[in-house]
Amino acid sequence: MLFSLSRRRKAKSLRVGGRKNNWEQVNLLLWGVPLLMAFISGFLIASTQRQANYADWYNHWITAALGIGTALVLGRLQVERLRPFLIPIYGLTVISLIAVRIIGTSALGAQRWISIAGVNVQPSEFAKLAAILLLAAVLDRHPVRSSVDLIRPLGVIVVPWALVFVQPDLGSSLVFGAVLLAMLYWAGMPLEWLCLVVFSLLTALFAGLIPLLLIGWIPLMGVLAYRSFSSRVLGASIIIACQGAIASMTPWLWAHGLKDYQRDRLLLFLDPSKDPLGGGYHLLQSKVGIGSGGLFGTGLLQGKLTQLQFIPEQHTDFIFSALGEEMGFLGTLLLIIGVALLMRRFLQVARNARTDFESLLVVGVGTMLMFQIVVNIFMTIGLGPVTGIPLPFMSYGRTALLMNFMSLGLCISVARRGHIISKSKNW
Amino acid sequence: MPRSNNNFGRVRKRQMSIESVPADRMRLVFSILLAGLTGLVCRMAWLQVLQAPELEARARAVQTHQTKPLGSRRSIVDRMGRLVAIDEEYFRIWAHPRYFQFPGDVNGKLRTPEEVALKLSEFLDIPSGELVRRLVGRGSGIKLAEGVQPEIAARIRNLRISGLDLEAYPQRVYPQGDLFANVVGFLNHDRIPQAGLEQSRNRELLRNEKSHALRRGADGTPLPDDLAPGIFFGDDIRLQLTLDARLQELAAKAIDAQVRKWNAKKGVVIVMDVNNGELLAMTSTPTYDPNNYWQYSPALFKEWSVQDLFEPGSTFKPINLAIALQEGVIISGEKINDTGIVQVGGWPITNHDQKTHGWINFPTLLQVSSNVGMVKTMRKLKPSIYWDWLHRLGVDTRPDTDLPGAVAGQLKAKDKFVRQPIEPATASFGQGFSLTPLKLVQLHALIANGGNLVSPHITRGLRVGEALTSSADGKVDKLMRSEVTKNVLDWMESVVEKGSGKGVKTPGYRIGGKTGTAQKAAHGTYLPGAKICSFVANLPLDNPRYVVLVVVDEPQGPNAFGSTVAVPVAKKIIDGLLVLEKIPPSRSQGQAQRSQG
Repeated sequence: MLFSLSRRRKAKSLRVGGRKNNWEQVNLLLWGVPLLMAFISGFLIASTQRQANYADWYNHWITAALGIGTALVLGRLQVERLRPFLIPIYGLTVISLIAVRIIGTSALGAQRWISIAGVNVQPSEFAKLAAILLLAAVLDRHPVRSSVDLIRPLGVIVVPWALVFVQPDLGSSLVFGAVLLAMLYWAGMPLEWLCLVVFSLLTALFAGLIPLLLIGWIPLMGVLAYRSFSSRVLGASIIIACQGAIASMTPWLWAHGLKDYQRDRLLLFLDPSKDPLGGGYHLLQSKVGIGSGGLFGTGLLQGKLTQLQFIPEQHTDFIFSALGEEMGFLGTLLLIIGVALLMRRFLQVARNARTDFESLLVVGVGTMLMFQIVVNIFMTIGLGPVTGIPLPFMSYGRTALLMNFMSLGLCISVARRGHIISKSKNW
Repeated sequence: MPRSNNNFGRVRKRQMSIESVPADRMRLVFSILLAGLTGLVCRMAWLQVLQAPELEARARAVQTHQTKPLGSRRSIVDRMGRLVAIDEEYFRIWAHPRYFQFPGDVNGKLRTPEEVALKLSEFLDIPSGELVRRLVGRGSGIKLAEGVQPEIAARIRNLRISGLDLEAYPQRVYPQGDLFANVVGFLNHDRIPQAGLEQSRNRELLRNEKSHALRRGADGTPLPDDLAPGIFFGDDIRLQLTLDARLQELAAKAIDAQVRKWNAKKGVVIVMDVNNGELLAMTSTPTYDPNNYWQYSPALFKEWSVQDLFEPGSTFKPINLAIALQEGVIISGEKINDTGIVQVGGWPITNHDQKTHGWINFPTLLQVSSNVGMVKTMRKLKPSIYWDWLHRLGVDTRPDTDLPGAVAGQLKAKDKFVRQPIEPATASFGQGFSLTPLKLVQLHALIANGGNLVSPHITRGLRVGEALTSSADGKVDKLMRSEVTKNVLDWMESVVEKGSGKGVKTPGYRIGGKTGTAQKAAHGTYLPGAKICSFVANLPLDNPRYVVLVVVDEPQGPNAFGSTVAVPVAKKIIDGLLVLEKIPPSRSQGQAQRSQG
């Protein structure tokens, strides 16, 4: 007893020296926010599963514990050491994604899981991390300086993206896109290019809704391209052609390229009351659930709507509505503040990383987490389409949770080895 | 730091690091994110702070389910537990053509009314053309069919056509048809009771279905909060009648045949347990089928044996004799001189057959149904005492009964009855006042049971499983000495043995009876040729248990008397009653017969 006490004190006194102290500072947020999310989520899942038994809530905590263990191990690892394994990891992931097509389990109209020893594994979750790792390595070696540099990263992402898209898993495939864009931007891609890609979505939207607007919109894209590409005229004309193609393709793709349920989901969030008993049901109920929480919520394990399963899939994609009902506006506000702080820390870690590879990795992981959090919450509160993206660290889903902790572990490793972050140096 | 030799194995010192990632790029990224998160916070504030009360109300609304009372009713059973009235579940089919889809259809594909009608017409006996005609026009909320039986509804449900709703509703069914219509009544299309017990005992027949606000889960599981205990108590309470369906049927057939044979207006049979007032049969003709009540005249919906008055005539004579005996103005062995005609207050009163019987004792008086004898007998009693007796017996009061709509009889005012000698004189042979057949049965039961006024009733109470929850035993009012009633019964037995009641004579059984052929009065005068023929019987006389009354209104023909019209019906009923109630033959009579044989 005495021995252990003295040892603890000794350990404490050791950490007083600069590096160690900072290590603690850095990782308070990196560890704290995800852990708190996973911890609270255990209660929320328990709450959603009161009447049903789709999932045992404690599995969430068990997986979280496993994830923390993995993250601790990865946090001690030097991320650079992973480089030799990147291609095999990537290859394995692609193989597992192909395997899903062949031996996967179908559920809810999609084929996403492989059953390994009774545990359903969702390879698309690992594919995200594998793609981020390889992408970081590629961009580290070939930063984006000209438009030709876009080809390699696109090549890296297109294979897992396509395999996930055909599962079909629209949500995960969107994550790939977001991660790619963010990492490209971080690797030096001009802002105009980013805009061009993001604005293509608007082009598609306009093509479907207000085609007249395209007359002004597509030339504007051309101007952007003219300003940003090295070969101005060629770039501009290619972009105008592409935008034109997108505009003309969109209606056709809408009619034939999307599955019915995807089309429904995309439309329903605009007006969930259109089909209050069908697809709009999720959205309405989720909104009602969150709203009924009020300022302070009903208290953990007290949410009526949550316990009565008025919100379908609440333990997975719609877990945020349980938080909203049971912890109220204060709970959700705290979560969002926590997420904002976490993101800030990710950016700091990325900026202070020792190598570009590490920096890009952190940006990729940060984007992945943040994109999922934002899109998921937007979906839950009725501001975005139902895309089936889970809420990291909170949604029930063992593969995703484990993968999220693994990603976190890599970031922590980067943070540990990164430059000392002092307050004065804060950007 | 170890260096890897992999493709990407170069660990470079960051070249683009702090310099190549400019601070504004960081700021841009972070502010985009913050903008997104701020949007989230605003939205949350909107939902959870500003809209919270409204959304919370909606949350409660989706959780609470107001149960709509179906208005299901308890069954009615006869004394043996046979179903008399029962709720059956039927279905209405509602169609919403704007949602028509077959199972497995791709989203957005809409089926035409023709396709749906074709599938439905297999199960409904409505041609598909007619179904299509109903389906065209409105997008939803079309009532396609009603009265669909549960099996058919299940088959239609199995089609799993979306856009079709099956709504269950209870319908009252009367398995015994017209047999109990006169007492049980019926429900109209809106399930509002229109007659009989359905109306008078509506409150007990209605299941205790309060409109509950149930908290429910998304899958419909009710939540155990806010619920009173016993809410899911299965209600298998039935209203049990004292009537016996077999006897009722027998009586209905007998009276119906007789009414037809004599071209009479109507007829009624009442069989009552003299000791407790339970009615074993109460049937009247013509009646109606409660399952198709709309095909009948509403005049049939009331039970006339309870609600209409008639002048009992000679069937009331035993009651009068009992009053006289009870008051001690006559003794049992006494003889009365039937002079064939008697003047009362200037009115000549004769016997119905215009005969003169001379000095007769009371059994003979009843056998020949002497009006003159009765007038002379009842003259011995002071009119005021006589009136008091009629009043005490309840001739002019509503009988204590559960039969719906029972009315009081009519008796002249006491001062008029006392002042005008013709009033007690006509009353002595059962004219000049009126009562319901039910009342007459009650009074004869009093003779049979030793002087007790029992309450006639047709409901035994509410029955749960085998246990009777409440019993409706009539209260007993001892009005006459049993020696008096015993005397009268003996005299009535002679009517069956030797007099006008011979028609019901049954070997081995002692039966007392009295016929009646009364003139019918309307608006103060007697209608020529309009008679009411009746017969009342008590049995078995060793230990009287039942009183049987048969009344036939306006039988046609010169030969229409109580003995010819009513007695044959009573015979059939008595035969049935003896078998159904397993009444053993009289010991004395049986021994006599055996010694004879």
